[in-house]
Amino acid sequence: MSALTQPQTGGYGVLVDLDKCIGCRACEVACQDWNGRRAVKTEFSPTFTNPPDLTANTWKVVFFYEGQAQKQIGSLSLSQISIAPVPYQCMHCLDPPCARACPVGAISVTKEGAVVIDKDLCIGCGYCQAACPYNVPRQGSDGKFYKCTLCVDRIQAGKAPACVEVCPTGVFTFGPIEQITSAARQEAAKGRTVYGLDLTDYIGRGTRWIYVASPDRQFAISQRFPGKPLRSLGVLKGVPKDRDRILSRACRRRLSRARPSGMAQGEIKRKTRGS
Amino acid sequence: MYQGIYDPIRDEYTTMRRSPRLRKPGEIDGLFSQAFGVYKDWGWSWPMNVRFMYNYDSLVKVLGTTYTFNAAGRTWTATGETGEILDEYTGEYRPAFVPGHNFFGGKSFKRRLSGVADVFGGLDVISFIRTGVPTFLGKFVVEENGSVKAVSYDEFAASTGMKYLWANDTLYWDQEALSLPAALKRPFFPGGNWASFAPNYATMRQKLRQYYQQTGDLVKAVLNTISDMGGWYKGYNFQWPIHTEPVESPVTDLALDYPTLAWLNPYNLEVLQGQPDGLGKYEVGVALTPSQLSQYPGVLVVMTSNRLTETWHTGQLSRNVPYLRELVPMPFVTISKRLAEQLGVSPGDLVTLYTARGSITLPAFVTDGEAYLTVDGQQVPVVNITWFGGFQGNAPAPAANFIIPDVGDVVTTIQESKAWMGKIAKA
Ligand code: SF4
Ligand code: SF4
Ligand code: SF4
Repeated sequence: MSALTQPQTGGYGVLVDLDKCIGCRACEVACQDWNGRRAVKTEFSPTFTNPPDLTANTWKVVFFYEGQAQKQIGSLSLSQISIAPVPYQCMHCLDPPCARACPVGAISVTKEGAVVIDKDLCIGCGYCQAACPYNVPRQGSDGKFYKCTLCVDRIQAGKAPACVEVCPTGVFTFGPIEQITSAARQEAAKGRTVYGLDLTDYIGRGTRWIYVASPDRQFAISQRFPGKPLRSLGVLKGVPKDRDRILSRACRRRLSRARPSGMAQGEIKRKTRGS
Repeated sequence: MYQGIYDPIRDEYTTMRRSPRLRKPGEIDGLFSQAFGVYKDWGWSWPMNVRFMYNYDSLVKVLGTTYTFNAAGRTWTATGETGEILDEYTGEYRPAFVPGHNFFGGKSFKRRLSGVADVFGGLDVISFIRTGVPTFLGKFVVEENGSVKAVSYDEFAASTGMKYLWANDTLYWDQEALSLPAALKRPFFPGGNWASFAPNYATMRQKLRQYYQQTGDLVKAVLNTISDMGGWYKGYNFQWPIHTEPVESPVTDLALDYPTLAWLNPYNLEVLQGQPDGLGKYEVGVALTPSQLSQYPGVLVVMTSNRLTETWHTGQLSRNVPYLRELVPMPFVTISKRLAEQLGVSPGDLVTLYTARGSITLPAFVTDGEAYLTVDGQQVPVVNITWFGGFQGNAPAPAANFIIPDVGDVVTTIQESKAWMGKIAKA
């Protein structure tokens, strides 16, 4: 079993340089295409973000934020209205609360560091979504929960994630997490805003998707990620140690149906990949 | 139809190609295709099958190298993505954008330098597609011994050796255009000078203002001025750039001081009089002054239009791609927060845009980022309409083209789609 209560070391990460993002949303489409997700029927979106939030079929959504951009050119200080895009998906927390919350062990962390929901094990209870401080997992029409897989299938085949490969301006840098983290620290030292480092213990202090922005796009980070992630829902107090206590009766019923035969009552196997 | 979508020599629709192979070194864009993983024989893109716009130096900048290869019997050296075009001499493909082409000047400027004054001739593509028989229309105007004469297509092709000129729907450019003697040559038809035109211009403006004051009707004033002067901008020559207002200017004083050039074009003149051919029952016409829109409710605004990254042109092709439709399911109009408050409109509410050509209703995208113009001391809001849309396919929606003035630029004949006048109100 992977070390779910300790931040996992090793594996991969992605540095997201928001300054370079032109908001083309090629990443959003590439994600749907690679993962075989159906297009979502949408309406006009007054924020331009479309679909307006993550869905079970849209694991990556580019959010658009409007703010006041400050630019300093020599002694000249300029200020203008700017719309900044933020490509957004599962953050792949170093110690993912979603995996701790899952009562059937459907969520595992692969050795690549990808937090993956196994849809064959998922019973649709929604605990992962409630535990996730970023509100990432979304329920599909089959009742099960879906989210970004870090394209672990591609990584295992020696490729970068689909969104990383398709981005025309090189917003995403994909690489070993140590390199990504140290690159992010260097950007922070240059005075850029960084999100994804030194966060709360609840998520293992950091995420594998780390965002950086210069001062003129900093407003986008603070609008997308207000404050530090906290565990949000009271019902989840006690996760993960007391996992069984919080299972509702309905959940237990579904659990017993979902459990493969041959598994003893109370014994929940966590599926681990690549081990 | 875009130059390059159809290759008449090989009878191939390039947009329908589906080859999942990267080009090899030695081919046009071979290095580019390999290095950046671009599938250049899968479909086609405008212009000239270039997949990244303004990508003139990616090989040098990213790879630190140039790329030398043979095509159409010549050796070329590229610094970036070149795209391809049919060679007029050999009928083979040759690179379209190579250094010396793209850094040098516009195609019409170059063809003038190389001895062709203007091209009104070429293959009738539509009849060729229908019948397979090439017919050539029009004439080529060429320079000979300091004077200008018109020659037929065949004469032109025979004298220049451009046997496959017919395969392109216009003369694109030729080698001589890049030579030093050509570069030193002046363009054709230099015409008169500014000093001789200036008095005419002064009279034209004065007459226009005077007729407008007499009649209160700018259409009448334009027509009277044309008939008095024997033409609109008589004696003007495009060598001197001047400022003109758009056809539909919200500030009449400026429209009188800087009259539009559009009425130099006979088609535009028909539109001015509400009688162009071919538009049948549809509303046509232009509002030269805000008073011509007085029957409509709402606030007077300057309208402009723009494309979106998510949809290709009007979206004839891309609108039916479900993933792209998901991103922007319908056109919308961008308005400023201040204007939205004035109209009582919240983000996403429908607004109606009224013009002399009818009206369309679209949802509003409200932002602090949309401008107000200060025109002649007045604050005029700008609204920005996404240009795609149409009544067929997966995502039917009204297109901005319905309300864009049906007048074309006098040189390019491109619709005046960047600045026109209308009114906006909550729907
Ligand atoms: S962002 Fe949410 S879904 Fe993704 S790993 Fe963290 S807790 Fe799990
Ligand atoms: S890593 Fe893969 S699954 Fe995750 S957002 Fe990118 S494309 Fe989608
Ligand atoms: S593909 Fe790259 S530039 Fe385009 S929206 Fe995504 S991150 Fe931004």
